[in-house]
Amino acid sequence: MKNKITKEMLPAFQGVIPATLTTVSKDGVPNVTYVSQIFRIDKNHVAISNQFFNKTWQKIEVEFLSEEKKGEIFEEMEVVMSGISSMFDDKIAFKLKSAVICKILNIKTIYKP
Amino acid sequence: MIPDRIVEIAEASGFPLWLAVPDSCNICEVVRATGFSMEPDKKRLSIYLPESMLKLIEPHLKMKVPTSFLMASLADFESYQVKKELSEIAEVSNSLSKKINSILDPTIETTNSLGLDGSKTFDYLKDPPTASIHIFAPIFLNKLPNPERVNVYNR
Repeated sequence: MKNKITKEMLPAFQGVIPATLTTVSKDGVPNVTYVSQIFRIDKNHVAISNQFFNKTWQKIEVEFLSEEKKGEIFEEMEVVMSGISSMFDDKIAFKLKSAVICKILNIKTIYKP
Repeated sequence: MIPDRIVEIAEASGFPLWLAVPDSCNICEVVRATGFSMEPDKKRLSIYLPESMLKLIEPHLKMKVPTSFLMASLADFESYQVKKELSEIAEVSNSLSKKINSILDPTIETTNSLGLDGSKTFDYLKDPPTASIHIFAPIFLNKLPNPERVNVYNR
């Protein structure tokens, strides 16, 4: 099982194409949504921008560790967020509520050109 | 009646499409779909997958498995979601397959306009779709302009 971010995966963290986050409810119903930012903390950890989602975190292929509403990671993500926000008009609110820190359990390559 | 906006998205608006299915451990497999269509009376939603994507989720595609289907714009995050149990898996005819594949062109153009290589990014979806995942009525579309405030788009 692969659980480390490699150099060749780094472009996926640039945020040009939004990442997709999938969760599953207790009764097994999946939910798919865009997230504007997946921030690479180190080879084993990522922070997911929390702007939108309020749903309970269930089993996903990351392990939920903490939620940060201030600090270095949060501030760095806020800067990226304002950059993303500037590309859109005012109807979309890009306000970072928190950085959700996760440990990577599994990385699967879906497609490699 | 299907909302006009959904018809536009289905035909040519360049929305990336996602289909999520949970595995036996309640961890999701999520794959990109090539296209989708909806019957005018909203009694059937068909989601079209190329062979490579189908292979990834095939082990989890059991009848009545809950699915989540997302249409989400790259340009402004305009999003619509359908959550419904799987009803049927069918093969796609050659003529339909070719028609569906042309839906990808606007998505590639949108990606190019973002300064990326759209053809390369979506190369894996250029294989003609071989399977369609059917979801039967009633279909509820949730509009998610901001998922914090989920609005029912149409019933």
